[in-house]
Amino acid sequence: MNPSTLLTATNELTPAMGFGLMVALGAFMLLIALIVKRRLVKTTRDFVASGQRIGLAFGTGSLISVWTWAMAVMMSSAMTYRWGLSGLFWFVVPNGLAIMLVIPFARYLRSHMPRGYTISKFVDHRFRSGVSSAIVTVTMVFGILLEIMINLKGTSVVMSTVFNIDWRTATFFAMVIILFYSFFGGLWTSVMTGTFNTLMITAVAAAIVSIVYAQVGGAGAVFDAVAQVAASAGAGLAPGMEWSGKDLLGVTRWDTAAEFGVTLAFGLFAATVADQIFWQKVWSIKSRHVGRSFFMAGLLFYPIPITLGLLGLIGIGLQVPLAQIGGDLAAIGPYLVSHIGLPTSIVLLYVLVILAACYSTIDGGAAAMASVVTVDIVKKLKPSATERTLFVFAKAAILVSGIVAAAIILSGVDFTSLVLTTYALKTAILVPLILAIMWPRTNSLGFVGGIVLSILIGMPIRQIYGELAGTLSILAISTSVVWLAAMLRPQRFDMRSLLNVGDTFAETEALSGSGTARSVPAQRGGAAL
Amino acid sequence: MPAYLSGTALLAIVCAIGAAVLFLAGYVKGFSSSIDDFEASQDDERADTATGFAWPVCLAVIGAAVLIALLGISPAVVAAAPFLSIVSAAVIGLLFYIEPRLD
Repeated sequence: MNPSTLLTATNELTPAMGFGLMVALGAFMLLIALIVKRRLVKTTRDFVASGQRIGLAFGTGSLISVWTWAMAVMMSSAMTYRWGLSGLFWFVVPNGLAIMLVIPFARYLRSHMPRGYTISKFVDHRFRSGVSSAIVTVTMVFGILLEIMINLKGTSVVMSTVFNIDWRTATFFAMVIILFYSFFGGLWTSVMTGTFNTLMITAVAAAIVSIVYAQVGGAGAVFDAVAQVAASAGAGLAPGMEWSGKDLLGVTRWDTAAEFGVTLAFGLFAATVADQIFWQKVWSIKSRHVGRSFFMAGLLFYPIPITLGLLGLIGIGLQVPLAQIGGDLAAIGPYLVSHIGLPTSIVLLYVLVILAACYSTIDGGAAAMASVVTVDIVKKLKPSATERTLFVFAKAAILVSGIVAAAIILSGVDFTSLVLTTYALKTAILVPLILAIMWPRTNSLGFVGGIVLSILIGMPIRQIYGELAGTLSILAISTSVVWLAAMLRPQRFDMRSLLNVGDTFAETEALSGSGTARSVPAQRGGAAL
Repeated sequence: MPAYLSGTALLAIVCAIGAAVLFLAGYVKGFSSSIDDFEASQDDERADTATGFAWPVCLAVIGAAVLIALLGISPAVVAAAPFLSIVSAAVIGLLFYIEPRLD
């Protein structure tokens, strides 16, 4: 591998092509959305929860697509480029596990509370405390917004790196397109378009990575080049590559685990367990397929970041200095694909892969926001809200979440720092939420106290002593406080009482005399059990 | 033949096209089944009776970890890894056909 001869930009890539690609993908998604709207959406329940009729394949595909954001597509290459295979290891292994860890909680809550729809609604009934549910609702809203922002940022990184489009313009353009098609069909649209996008991030991405490897001399040449970089770490490397570590082909580097691996792992677990995007799926997939869908999604997800992460090895082998890609690790994949002399069509396909990943996560986030706004905010503040009102708010939630996220991202934020900060904050809610689901002795004092104290104490520790100490402190404090509160104020919650929780949408349909108006008492009977 | 269309890449392209065909056929079938299901308008709250996820989850995690470790052992594994993504696409396509049998 020779860096000087290989790193030539593909010339024909113009901004117009980039815009055309974004519009073309958006137009295709819109076509799906319009069919969905006409054939599958009649009520707010259909819009927000797909009528609880998502099957195994669409459940699996949509879970993979919402989980495969810019993180998995670009950060897998970035982490490999930064840390070698240990970076890929710490990025990938907890990523797939995070989806599968949801299985026990998802199955438990779906069977005990068949018409929950949102995790905040569960917390509301679990603790009968406005503060508890408000904290969870705010966390969900904040989390969804950040996910939209991160993926918008991902879109802007790839469009500016490959097509030299101003990142602000790319952000704005992407948001308008996604909001336009998401507006029709809600969750069904997100599920259908997301599942289609899994084809792009699996088969198409795999073909592209194989093509890229062939273009740079094959896996053997890359392997040897990385081994050479590892052997001559430090001053022996090209200027700008001095940060490259020694053990680039091993997975046991402790510094990788300490500097990002462990923090990311816990953050990823929190990102699924404490994320309405996933809980919305739990209550929207057919109940008998919930466990299988999450398992298949985790299993089939694994090859995606592994495949795309392989681009990072090429970055190391070619000794591409960080400054050459604009100082943003996430840009290594797009930069390589567009600078090794590949035909324009291959580069465009790669951009489509990233756009597909970004679009599907953003529309999934927008759909999740619709569920939070309708179930946890509008219906809670105004129980008499009609079907029509709820539907309007569901659609408005999609628009507003996109507009707010775009406005924030246009102010400019660092990609990697944003990801890690989001995960650290979500870590605070991880243990209290799990215990609220699985440990009947958890009470509202422990739940709220655990979250608040772990943030108040853990975040300064994180700032002073770093990611690892901060993450472990947050987990330890939140766990201890929940346990201590259970000892101080002993009480036992009867989980069977969750079966009596009413169906938000069925009640609204009954009030409005519209939709399919399913029988609430029948659902309360706990058919899922 | 250009360098980027040699050997493994060509095989990957052919396999990816095969997986895409399977995926799309399944997708269309799944889409129309969802519409039929919606028009039937019946609640389906059959319990999730699938059990025994612990071992498969452990095996999946260990498998992924071992695969990444093996990437650093041999370039052949590096060349083969993208084919697993193609398998993922094919399996999702197959799920559309398997799903009705699970009912």
